Amino acid sequence: MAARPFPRWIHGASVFVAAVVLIAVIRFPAALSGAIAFERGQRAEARGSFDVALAEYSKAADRFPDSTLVIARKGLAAYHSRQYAIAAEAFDKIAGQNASEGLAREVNGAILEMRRESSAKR
Amino acid sequence: MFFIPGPVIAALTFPGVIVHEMAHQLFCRLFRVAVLDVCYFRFGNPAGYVIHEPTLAARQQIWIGIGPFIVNSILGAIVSLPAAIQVVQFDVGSPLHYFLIWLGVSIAMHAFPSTGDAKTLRTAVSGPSVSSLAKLVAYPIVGVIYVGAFGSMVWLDAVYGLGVALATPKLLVMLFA
Repeated sequence: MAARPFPRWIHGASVFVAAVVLIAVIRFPAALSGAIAFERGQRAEARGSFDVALAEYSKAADRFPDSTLVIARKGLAAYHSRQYAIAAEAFDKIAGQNASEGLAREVNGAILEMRRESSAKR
Repeated sequence: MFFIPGPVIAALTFPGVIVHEMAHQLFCRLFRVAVLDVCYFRFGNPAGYVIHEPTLAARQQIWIGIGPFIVNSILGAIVSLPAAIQVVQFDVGSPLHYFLIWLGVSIAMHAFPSTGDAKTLRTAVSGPSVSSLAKLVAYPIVGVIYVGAFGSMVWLDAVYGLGVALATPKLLVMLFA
């Protein structure tokens, strides 16, 4: 009685879930390292180390090339470290994408500033 | 605050109910307590149940009662772990990721033992044969279980499920960064 067996459908469902989780877990280390790089980028950005932030955000962008947030932060770090070509490339990539109001304002401000500096040089 | 009937929530998060009952059964098996009947899921109240023989020691009843809290919390976190970063932090989730999030949250939000579990536990530990030490350990647990069970009326179970499933990856990132 104590060892009343689990029904077959429970075994089947468990195997299915285990398989799905296994597939996702295989991909997890890459996602985790990308998220860690992003977190390090944010910390570096907060203390004004924009070169370090750019390097970390670039690693995160390699892992999440479709993330508007990652690409935008990479572009902003590049802008603050005056690497305008990288910044412009990043901002071009996310043009037209949805973003939070604050992030959009930051990106638009950086784009305007880069344009102003570019026209001042001419 | 909006009200959704319990059976509807249970149906939408049925994997959690199944895991909850499996956890009770698993702990019955671990403590060699005979299981008389199991319902893993049904459309009704309760959505699932495990009927077992009376336990010989209060300790066994405590473990059987809190088994789902341990199993559902750990399994919910593991299942959603690979998907939460993509979906929550970077908004680049695939259908597989959303499936895992639903599964993980469903499992974790059924971690709280029910009022039925609390009542069984309270009855088991209130007997004269139970030592004062066991009562000292068990009564706070019964209290927490009641708080959790009644808290589900104000979505505490959902908040807990979301917290376990979505905050664990964030904690990992903070830890390793």
